[in-house]
Amino acid sequence: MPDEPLQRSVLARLRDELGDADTMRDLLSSFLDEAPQLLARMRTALAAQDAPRFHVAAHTLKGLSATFGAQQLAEVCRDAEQRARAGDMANAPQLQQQAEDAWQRVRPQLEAVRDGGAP
Amino acid sequence: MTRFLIVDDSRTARMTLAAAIRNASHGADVREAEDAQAAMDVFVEDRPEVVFLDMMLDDSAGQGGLGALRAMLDARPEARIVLVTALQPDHADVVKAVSLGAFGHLGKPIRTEAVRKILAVVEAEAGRMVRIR
Repeated sequence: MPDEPLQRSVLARLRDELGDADTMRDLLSSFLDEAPQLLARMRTALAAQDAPRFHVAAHTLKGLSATFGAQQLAEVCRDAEQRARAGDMANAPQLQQQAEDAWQRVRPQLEAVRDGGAP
Repeated sequence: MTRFLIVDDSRTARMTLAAAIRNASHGADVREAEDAQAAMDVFVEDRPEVVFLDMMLDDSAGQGGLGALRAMLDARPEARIVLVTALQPDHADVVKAVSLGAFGHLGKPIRTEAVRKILAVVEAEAGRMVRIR
């Protein structure tokens, strides 16, 4: 697990590649909206023991987290995705909780960058 | 001007890729669709030349991106369908998609440089087609 919730170099690289602060702010706002929705989809799938849906939601959240430098969240989601793809939901409750915790750690840092802070 | 279609059920993923395309190709005409049905509607009506298709598309038919890929290539075999996926290029689903006629493979997380390279290949191929005529 990475030491820091947010790998700022990833965000800085994305900002530099896009070269547009407004676009970066819009993307971060969208991620801040969508990540809780994906966590909710994971919770719903977990309650239903629906491994394919849990897998898809974890996969999407993994990709977005990696894009925005939320490396701890991305790693938890990668683990959840891989286990669910194999139909293994035994550790899914713990992984769900770890994902929720990782999101709570990184969310304020992402909000700070969205609101004008340096990546 | 090349017309693009991005198919992904994640709004943030669509926005990120659209920004990368516009960064690589200023003024690009970029459409978006969040599911397979909406994608086919845009694909038939607007006739985008290049489609970026999420392999993990959560479509109602349960066929994911491969189902949408088949439908698009059946409708317009000349379309260039680029797979967008975190899967490795040698993954069975990616190999299957390429055998069906997918044009290329774009890894996730999205990197602008990778988008730029794909667009360069598309434009080079379009140039060859013009010269052949």
